[in-house]
Amino acid sequence: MAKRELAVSFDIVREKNLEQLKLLNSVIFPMKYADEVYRQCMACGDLTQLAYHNDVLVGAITVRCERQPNGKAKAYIATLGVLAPYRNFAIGAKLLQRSLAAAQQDPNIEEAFVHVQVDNEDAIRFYQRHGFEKGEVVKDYYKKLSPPDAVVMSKKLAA
Amino acid sequence: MSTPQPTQPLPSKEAVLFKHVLRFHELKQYKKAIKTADQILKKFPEHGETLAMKGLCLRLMTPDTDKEKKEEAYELVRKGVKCDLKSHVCWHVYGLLYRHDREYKEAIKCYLNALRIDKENIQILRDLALLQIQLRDLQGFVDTRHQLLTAKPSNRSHWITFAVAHHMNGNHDLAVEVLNQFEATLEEVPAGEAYEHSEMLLYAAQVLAEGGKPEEALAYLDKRKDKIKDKRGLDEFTAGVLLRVGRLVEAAAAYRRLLDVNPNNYKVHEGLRAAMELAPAADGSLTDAQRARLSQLYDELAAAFPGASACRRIPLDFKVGDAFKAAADAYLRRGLTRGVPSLFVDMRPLADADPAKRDVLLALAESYRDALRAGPGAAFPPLAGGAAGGEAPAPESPQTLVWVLFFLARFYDRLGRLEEALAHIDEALAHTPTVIELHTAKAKILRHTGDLEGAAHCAETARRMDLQDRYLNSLAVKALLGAGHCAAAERTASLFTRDGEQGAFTLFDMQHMWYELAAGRAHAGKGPAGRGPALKKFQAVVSHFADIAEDQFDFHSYCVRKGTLRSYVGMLGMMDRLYGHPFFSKAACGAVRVYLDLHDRPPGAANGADEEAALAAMSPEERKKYKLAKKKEEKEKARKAAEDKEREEREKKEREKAAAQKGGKKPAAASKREPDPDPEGAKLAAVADPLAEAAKLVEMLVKHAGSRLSSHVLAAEVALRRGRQVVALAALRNAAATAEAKAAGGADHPEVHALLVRLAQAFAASPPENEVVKAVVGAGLAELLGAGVTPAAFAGRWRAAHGTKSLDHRLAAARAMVALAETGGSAPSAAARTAAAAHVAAGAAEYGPASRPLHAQCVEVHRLLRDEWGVAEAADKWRAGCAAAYPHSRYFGGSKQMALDPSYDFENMREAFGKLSF
Repeated sequence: MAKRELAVSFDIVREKNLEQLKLLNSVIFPMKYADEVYRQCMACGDLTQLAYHNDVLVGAITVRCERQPNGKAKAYIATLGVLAPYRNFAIGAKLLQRSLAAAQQDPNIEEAFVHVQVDNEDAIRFYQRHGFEKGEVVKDYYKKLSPPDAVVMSKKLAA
Repeated sequence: MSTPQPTQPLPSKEAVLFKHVLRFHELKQYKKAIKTADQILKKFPEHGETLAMKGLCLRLMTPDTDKEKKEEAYELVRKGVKCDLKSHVCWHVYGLLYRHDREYKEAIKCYLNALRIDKENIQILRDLALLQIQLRDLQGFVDTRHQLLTAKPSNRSHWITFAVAHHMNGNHDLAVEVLNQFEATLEEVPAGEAYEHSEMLLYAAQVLAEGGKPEEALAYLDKRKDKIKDKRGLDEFTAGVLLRVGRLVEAAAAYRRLLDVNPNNYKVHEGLRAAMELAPAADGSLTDAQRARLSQLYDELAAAFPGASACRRIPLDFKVGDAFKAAADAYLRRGLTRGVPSLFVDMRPLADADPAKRDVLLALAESYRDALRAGPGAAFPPLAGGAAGGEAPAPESPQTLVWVLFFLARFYDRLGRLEEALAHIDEALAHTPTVIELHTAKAKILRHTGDLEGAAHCAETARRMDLQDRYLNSLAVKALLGAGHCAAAERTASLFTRDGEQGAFTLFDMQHMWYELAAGRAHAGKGPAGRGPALKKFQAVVSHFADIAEDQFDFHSYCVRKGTLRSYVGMLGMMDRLYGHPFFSKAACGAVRVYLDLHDRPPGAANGADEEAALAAMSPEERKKYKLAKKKEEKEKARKAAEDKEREEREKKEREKAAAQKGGKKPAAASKREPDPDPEGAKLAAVADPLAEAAKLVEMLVKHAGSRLSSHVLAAEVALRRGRQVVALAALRNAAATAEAKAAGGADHPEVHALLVRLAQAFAASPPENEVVKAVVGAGLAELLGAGVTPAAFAGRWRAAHGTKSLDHRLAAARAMVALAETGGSAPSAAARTAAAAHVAAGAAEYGPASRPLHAQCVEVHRLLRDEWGVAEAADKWRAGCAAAYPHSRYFGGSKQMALDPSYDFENMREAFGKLSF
């Protein structure tokens, strides 16, 4: 099926629209993320991206930086989600591309990674299409989901 | 011109000092002025002019609240006048003092005295003229301006103000004559004054047209075209006058030129249609021929201005039948695809005015909904009236369905189909919960269903979704007040004020009237404890109006200097109608009701008894609950007080720290401000004679808002309580006439009826002592009740004819029953109260979700039955009926209450969510 297009504009997360992002994630994901996660993401500038259609928030990728022992950093994708009626318009792909492009602007960020539930084949394929590779499997990563295991997928970013 | 010699000449050294005093006063260095004055007074303690100046300077540096110092200032000035009665300076200063305290009538007297001594003192004449126009002493204003013009005809502003004076005094011809003469004295207009001159010419034309000479006005302007700078103003004025004199072809051409400038100006559209004889008749009807020409006109305009929404929207007003359906179809689709949130508000007047259009709009929106629910890739149904087999519409964005659901929810809400409205808004929220308008719409619908708490929650959710949106903040504040969370509302509103926690000041300074009205109502709804804060808010609004009237003072001189005469005259007219503004009526009515309540249930005396009565009316279970709640409340109060104190101290420290950081600069102006001596309005509520306060407001209401029924009803309420039966009779006559004019039944209007019975009862029980007054009231009542009819018979007849028509009618009949049982000041018997309450409560059986009075009124009635009349049985019956009619109501314990988010704990909110620095 050919991807249909939907006019989308992008923005970053700020204090004033943070509640919208929380509301969006609360209806897309089966768990609630701690306020701390959002604080960390907000501190990382334009790594986190919000997608708007007609000035209405319809999808978001939330990303935070994790410092590495060698002084470098990794970008960790905490959530990537689009409201159900707005899926299959390639909004998720655009969000991921914009976030990765923003990460590439920072020479300290050498890698992006994400946890994916092991049986989420759609998501695994999606990340593979964008150059991510499967890594180790973390046992019992999800406490309230079944299956509880997650696979780590990562992508090296060109320095 | 000769200035009279001073009667108390000073030696040269002191004369110099006195000049310094005047200089310091001008420079507003009042302390220095007083010091210098004291130097003179040491040698000449009886020097009147110095005494007066000292007093004036003392007053000017004293805050309004310091009564002692104020009195001292007045003493000084009075002493000065006494010492030197023949000095115009003393009288002038005395006048300035009164003017400062806004006692204009006294000030005028002083100025006139000063002028008696010094006839041509320009400064005093000018000050006098300002007061005269402020007080609308128009004849006096004309005279004073004439003197000024005679004294100094070289001054441009003297000519112009003299013309304005004649205009305001209703003498249009003379006003134009003055302006013409002035124009004739000008040889050439300097480039720097060209704009002022142009404004003067436009003003002259406006005066001509207003004075019944429109043709002359046109000719006047035509001759001076080149000198007019405000070309748009000229075009608009000309078009209007051409239309008025019936030169329709020219008027239409003029309006078309204006459309080229702004095709979205509805006034211009209206003018154009009138010029083409396409305006509807007085009853709003159009002929078919007119409709056809209108269609043609707007087809042409829409083609000429493809970007102008007015050209698309206006045809919906005049089109009917299939033509309307096709036009509405196209219009709605465009708005829904683009997600225009105001689309329903735009369509609402059509739906309200014409049931046929309402049905078409609703059917169209429902057809969109059914088509778009099909899922991904769904499209609108084929266009109404489109050619068969035409191109199928392209797929819509998934969001279009949300806007269709939103539109329908608002529509059902308007039609009173609240369950459907809620179902649609919930469907939309499940689809795209990030559309903020969905949450605000849900708040609105919940308010209509009687769930005020739920409405506050939805409005708060919406506000949190965009913390920088002032509109959302205001909606949340309003919803919080509706649910009775006054403190939370104030904190939330204060997020948008400059100095945060001191927000209450800023809310007052900004004349934040809708907020003050809503807060006043919320406080008043809380019973005796809320009376003080409610009065505080209502009186704040009343004082804003005094301030606004006062604000015009500066414009009398400013506007003439700047030459903006048309706006100035418009402003004067606005000020003349100022107190007729709905905000004033609402505030004054609110305050009067609180004062009446203070009179009926004085604080202190009733406190214990009230509670006991309330306890007695409760079931043992309720009593337990009540006591527990009260204990909790007290604990909570203590905790809050401690917390507030702690916060205050913390903030004070922070402020000091901040001030220190700023390098020891002066603390910010706001923090320097004296705390409000009566923040909770306790002093206002402790007023000795609440009826006198109410009478003052009622007088204003009757004078300025005479077309509102409530003005006269409240006037009667106050007069009855003060034992002024003639006044009450007159008020009731006015009320009946107002109700008649609104086709609301005249003297049969329920509120008027209940008051009539009370007046008749009062007259029968204790007629006025004065025989003449007694005869007048007796005759008036005989006319209204029918000769020889007793109050009881009168009330009985009305009850039989009207007593069950509506809740208002039932209430009036019941109130009359209670009033009739109140003989000789004794409380009405339990039997009368029970019968009255039963008469009201019987109505509840007829209510259902489709037909029911307003929720707020139902609550009020429940309180009346339970608390004031103490009839538990009827109150319970009423509550059960209302719970069935309002299944979402929390107050009545309806069966369908929405679950609430417990994290929004409005009553114990310490800080409003989302403090941001802007």
